Amino acid sequence: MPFMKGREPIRRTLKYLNAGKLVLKDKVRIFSVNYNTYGNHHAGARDFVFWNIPQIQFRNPDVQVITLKNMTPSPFVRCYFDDGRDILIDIDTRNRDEIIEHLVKVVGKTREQLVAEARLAESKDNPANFGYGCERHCICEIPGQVSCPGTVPLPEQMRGKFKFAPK
Amino acid sequence: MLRAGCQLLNQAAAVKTGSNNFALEFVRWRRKPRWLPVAKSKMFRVPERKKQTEEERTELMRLHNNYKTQLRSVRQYLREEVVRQQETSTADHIVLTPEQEEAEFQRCLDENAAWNAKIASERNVRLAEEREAKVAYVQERLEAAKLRSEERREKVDERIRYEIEQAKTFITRESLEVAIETALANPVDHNYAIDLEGNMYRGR
Repeated sequence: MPFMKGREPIRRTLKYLNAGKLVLKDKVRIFSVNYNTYGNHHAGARDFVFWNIPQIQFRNPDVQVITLKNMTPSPFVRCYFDDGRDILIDIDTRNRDEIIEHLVKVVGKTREQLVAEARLAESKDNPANFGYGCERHCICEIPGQVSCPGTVPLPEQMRGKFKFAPK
Repeated sequence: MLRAGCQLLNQAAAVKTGSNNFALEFVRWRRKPRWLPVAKSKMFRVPERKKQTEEERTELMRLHNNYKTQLRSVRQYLREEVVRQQETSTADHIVLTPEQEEAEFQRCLDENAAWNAKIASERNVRLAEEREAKVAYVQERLEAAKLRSEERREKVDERIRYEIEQAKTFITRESLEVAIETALANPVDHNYAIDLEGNMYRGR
């Protein structure tokens, strides 16, 4: 898809996709929305599908996100969990802000959880980190860095024995 | 020989410690140990405060402030780093036990049930209103249809009455001879002209 083509191409920008608030819990496997393309009480659901579904799919790549059109008298969201249970969320006559807020409360991860996970991911992802819980336990594993003095003696210009030796 | 050696040792000791046997003098540390009280001669001595000039004082204050600020920032940084490290090195605080998870799930379900109930009540009100509106609309349309059909019947009746009225002068098979006789007896001549005043000018 070309960049600035189609209806509301801002929906396809990375900034917009990353700004999605709803990160589903790990238990959620399928996220389905039922709505109609007509009717006033489906307006919020239509807006939700139009504006927020791209964000949800982007933030939750491991979740199947499906939309079912014109099969229901009143719109609803249904989430299926990995233990076989499901939750049915009525979104009749609600606008998309109310819908997303409620979804974040009910099937989304809390903000603290997100922050903690972001930090965890950051510490794992940052290749500059080393030490306990990181990819490498010491900087000496990087080629070009000084080896650990326990295994290989330091260069002589770094050692006091030679630095302060009487000439 | 032994005695001479002892004497030598004593002499050496006297030189080292002084001749007073009563004054306990330590060889290893050349000052008063902590557990001895203040010397009598120093008991009431008040040490003089060192005078500081104004610029010395300000300079010292500046250095002191700098030091405090830097140390505070380092301490804060280390504290934050420890917190970060604790958060990142162990994921215990975000991994819930199954019971906690179940409780959390139940809380979400309850919250959602409340939300669904609220929407359901609103929807019932809306559906009732819509139903009433629909009933009223259908009623109106039915009445309009009834009115329309009555009008139509009226119109048809009118036409029938008119036709019946007209039918009295129709030429039937029985009255055909009479009609022909009448027509032959009264020939009509259409060959005439009319001027603007309405006067008729017969040609023949």
